[in-house]
Amino acid sequence: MAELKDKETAQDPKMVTLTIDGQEVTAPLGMTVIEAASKLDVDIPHYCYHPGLSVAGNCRICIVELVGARGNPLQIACNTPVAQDMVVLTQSDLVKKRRADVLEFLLVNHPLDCPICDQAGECKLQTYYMEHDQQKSRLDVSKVEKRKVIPVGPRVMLDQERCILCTRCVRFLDEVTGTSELCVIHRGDHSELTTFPGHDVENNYSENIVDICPVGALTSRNFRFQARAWFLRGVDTVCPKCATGCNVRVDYYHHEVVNFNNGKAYRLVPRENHDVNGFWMCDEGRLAPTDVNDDRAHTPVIRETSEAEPGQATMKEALNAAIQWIKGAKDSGETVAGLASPDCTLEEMFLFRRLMKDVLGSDLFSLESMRESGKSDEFLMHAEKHPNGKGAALLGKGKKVSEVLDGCKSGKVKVLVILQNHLKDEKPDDPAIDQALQGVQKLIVISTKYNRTSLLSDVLLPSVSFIEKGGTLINAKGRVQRLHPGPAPYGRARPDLEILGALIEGLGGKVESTEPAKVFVELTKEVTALSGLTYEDLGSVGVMTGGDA
Amino acid sequence: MSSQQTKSAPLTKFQLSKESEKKVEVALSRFPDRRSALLPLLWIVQGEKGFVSDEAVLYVADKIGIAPPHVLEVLTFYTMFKRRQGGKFLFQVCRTLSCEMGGSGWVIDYLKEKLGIDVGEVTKDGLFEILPVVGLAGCGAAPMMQINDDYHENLTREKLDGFIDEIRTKGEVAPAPAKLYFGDGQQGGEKERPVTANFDLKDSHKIEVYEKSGGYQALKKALDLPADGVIEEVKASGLRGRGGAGFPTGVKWSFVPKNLGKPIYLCVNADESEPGTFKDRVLLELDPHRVIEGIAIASYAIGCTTAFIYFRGEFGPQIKIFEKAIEEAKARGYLGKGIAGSKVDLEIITFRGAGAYICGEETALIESLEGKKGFPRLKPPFPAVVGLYACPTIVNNVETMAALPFILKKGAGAYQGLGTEKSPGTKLFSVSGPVKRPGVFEVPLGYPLMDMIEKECGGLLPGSELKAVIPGGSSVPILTAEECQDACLDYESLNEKGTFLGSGGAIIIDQNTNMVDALRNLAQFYSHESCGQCSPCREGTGWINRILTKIVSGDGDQEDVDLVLRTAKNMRGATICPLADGLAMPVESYYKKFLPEFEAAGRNASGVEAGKDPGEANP
Repeated sequence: MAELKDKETAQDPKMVTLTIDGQEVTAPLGMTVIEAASKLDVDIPHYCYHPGLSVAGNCRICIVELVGARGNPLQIACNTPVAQDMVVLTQSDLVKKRRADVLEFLLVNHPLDCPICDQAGECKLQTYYMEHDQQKSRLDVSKVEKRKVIPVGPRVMLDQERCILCTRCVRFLDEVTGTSELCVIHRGDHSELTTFPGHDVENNYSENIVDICPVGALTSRNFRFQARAWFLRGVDTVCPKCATGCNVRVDYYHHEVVNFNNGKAYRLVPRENHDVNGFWMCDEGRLAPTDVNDDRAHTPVIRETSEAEPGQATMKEALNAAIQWIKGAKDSGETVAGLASPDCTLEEMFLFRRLMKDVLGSDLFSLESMRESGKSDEFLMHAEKHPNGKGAALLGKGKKVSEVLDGCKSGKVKVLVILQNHLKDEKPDDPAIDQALQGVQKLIVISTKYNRTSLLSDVLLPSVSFIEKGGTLINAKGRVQRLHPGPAPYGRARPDLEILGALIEGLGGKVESTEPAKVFVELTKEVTALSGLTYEDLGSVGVMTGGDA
Repeated sequence: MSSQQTKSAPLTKFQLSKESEKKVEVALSRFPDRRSALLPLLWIVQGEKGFVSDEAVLYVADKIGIAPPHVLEVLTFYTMFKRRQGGKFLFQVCRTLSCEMGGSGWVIDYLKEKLGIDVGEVTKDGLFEILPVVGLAGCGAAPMMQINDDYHENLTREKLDGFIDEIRTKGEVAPAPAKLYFGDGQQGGEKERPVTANFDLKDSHKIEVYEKSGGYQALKKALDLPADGVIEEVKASGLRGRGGAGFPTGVKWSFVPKNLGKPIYLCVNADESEPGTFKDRVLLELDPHRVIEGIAIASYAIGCTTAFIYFRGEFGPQIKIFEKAIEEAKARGYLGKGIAGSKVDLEIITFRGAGAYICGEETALIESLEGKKGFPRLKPPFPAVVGLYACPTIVNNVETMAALPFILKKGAGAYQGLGTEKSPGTKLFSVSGPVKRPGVFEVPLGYPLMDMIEKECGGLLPGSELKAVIPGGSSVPILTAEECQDACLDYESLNEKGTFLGSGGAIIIDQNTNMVDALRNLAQFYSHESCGQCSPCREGTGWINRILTKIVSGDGDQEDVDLVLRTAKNMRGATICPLADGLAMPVESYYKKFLPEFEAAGRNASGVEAGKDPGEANP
């Protein structure tokens, strides 16, 4: 597996100063003009160049003008090394003309099927055409025809005609996964992207080639024809599928008027973070939209009596019912137990622990879950399938799940509070769970889902998914990273922190705030590994915890 | 993460003969990097099976240890590799400009009619297949073709009948190459001929003949000098690269960084594919030892102990001659351990391409040698620093090598005494087109172009009037008949006339050739040979070809004609290598110099003369 690249930190003490569009920039020798330009936020149009891959230099659109250069003043920015006193123009007439020329060449054989192309709206051919070309087609001969709608793997669809042969995908599979499933065959304008028969692109990173395809040649079979890019909004967050904590953006539907579908998650795409995932994420992680979309608990439910159908309730009614039961148990000196899980954010665990320990005086609670470890691949997919196992360990996991279950089974627990722990779903056939749940009188579940666990509850308090809330997670390497709230809470669901806060206050405890930022500051006062950090410090790429978390 | 792809399916379906297996093992152990054996393995497979199947791809991928797509992309890049069983005798009819002027069109039509098959089909008896190809380095013997590896040149209907009968009755056909060198004393006047001195001798390709003429003495002399001394001598001679770019050879050598602790490689470019050029072919056939001696001298100078010579795939017969010569030279101690009694070692490895013009570009040649597609590399870095296997590498043309023995033997001064002050020495020219004696001629640089046509070539054919000359291979700008009158064949004179000496492939054009047709022929070639890497070239060459095809077939108009020019200009200087320029320069110069023909094509095509409403021609 190729190491994640970071040219910025490459050790090269020798620095040079150059000007790009009149702005001075200092860059290490060995850096290319396109990289130096990005330091100035000067975006040079490009297709084949990708900072995480080797330089191919084939699309020819990143052309810049080198003032006073010997020979051809127009050179590609992706392969031109910076030099002292170099003067680079990215917007000169020569450059603009050449960009328009290159675009015309790229469009000569490109099909005009934008109306049915998934990439429309986020296609670099469209973007650069609008920015740099806008000339009428002069093509009056036939286009080269190639194949369309070719499934090249379980998750990726290929359209050879749309392909501009930038070879980003080929290089990704050669250099990052080392699986080399794609190649460009033939030559000239008959060059085609293809696989070898029977050797599909089915590695766990295959959807990255969809992300890096600058046009609509490679599309995701999961995302295909599901949503138009311009109806999607993105929220920067962290993948919840394992302990690596890949930085991702989740795209969800948003429309002011046609809003029935608002908040539905459509896809995850990786965000650049050199300390975590580079530019990539695994295909497994891309299944996270189901966490947001499927079986969502949208309405609080109170099971009135043992006979009755569960009845819908307002959040206030459901909270009141929960508080009354817990209070009853507490006042009669009976035990209240709790089960959270490492799916929770640090802040949620923190308030959960306050509820159990400080408010209810119970130490029969656990921050562990019964979910088993899964596969790891020595790259981004971690065996630990919770996003915040490290956070749970840092706060103290409490009892083991089995101890809590034993307590319930023995009949000494009157009320069990479950926070985002789907134990009955993870171990549907485990008799210990059934016995435990039968042993308690009241089951209060805070959950995003209608599932086997939550449907057993006496009170279900629906909470929000990972893209509807803030909070922090600590990944396996000890990096604290932030979630951000994207869409509004689903249905009548509320953030877990709010629900926990209401329970604590209803039971006589105290909560300064249920804002993740403020809860975070509170917990940094108690957790030495986090001391001194603020929520804002975490920025977009997170911060390593001090000491060995 | 474990690699899923290199584990291929069990190879039960595919097996090679014991003999081929042995060849495979030899090929695998022959190169510093195993992947270099990719093209050789594909040749071995095709040699036995007739084509390369998917099972064969898996077999080769497994042998080399790369993923099957890496085999597939290489296999489909080179046009000589076949993906299906073809005819036992493949008639590859050359369609390059010289051959088209010489009538290749009728050859293909005649064969189609006679054999009852279309291009791409195989006769029912499995014997015959016709394939139009471009540029087989037989331009002086147009029309010509190769039947499998063998040359059959100066084709006539009677000859074609004879070949077909021979194959049907005997199951084989004897090669029928043309004479492309005329050793009858009319060569470049009285001056010395450093490269072709032995061409007149009987059995000039044999080592005895070469030694008898003083061969391998220059190598001994070179080995007595320090390596830097050899470089200095070559620098002083003013020898410039004879492949086309004309870069000073000694200067190029001096770019090689020594003491990097890496091997240094010499790659000799025998990928002669530029339409109109066939000088290296003749040189390799008639005097391979001069080339070998040159390679030994160059290798010593730059500190190389493993030299490669990259032949174009179509040079089957030339490779055989050359490999025989290598064996002879080894036997006499000129190659191998301690060459010519010195402490210097040298091995020469022959390498066969497989049909890709672009591999004549030095970095594409290196890629091909490494078992990859012939994609020119981005520069920097330059091959002298990072070349073959990421080691310092010098790529030199065959003719450049052949000039070295003279320079070392007689001294830089003697070489400089030939030619002009700025273009010293001699150069091989291959002349094709409607002249009485098309062929290869060695003349001192600065030689008048018209003298070449009149004296060396014996003048134009009866009834032919000189219209134009492409002086340096098809990629260079054209000269009109008028410009030819005072043109001299050296780098500077031709630059002054706005063109290049190039490879020395001079294509003579007479009044019978329409320049729009000629340009379309070139466009077909360049679009077919574009490697497909850079977007302007990949899309532009094909687009120009399609527009010109439309114009030539009478469907275009003036706008199309103008579009060809604009598209050509837009490709220029926009790509990694000069292939796109190789089409753009002819487009611009033909258009400029023969404007009336292009305007007429636009008018004709607009349908004005055909009686159509011009408005309809291009709605």
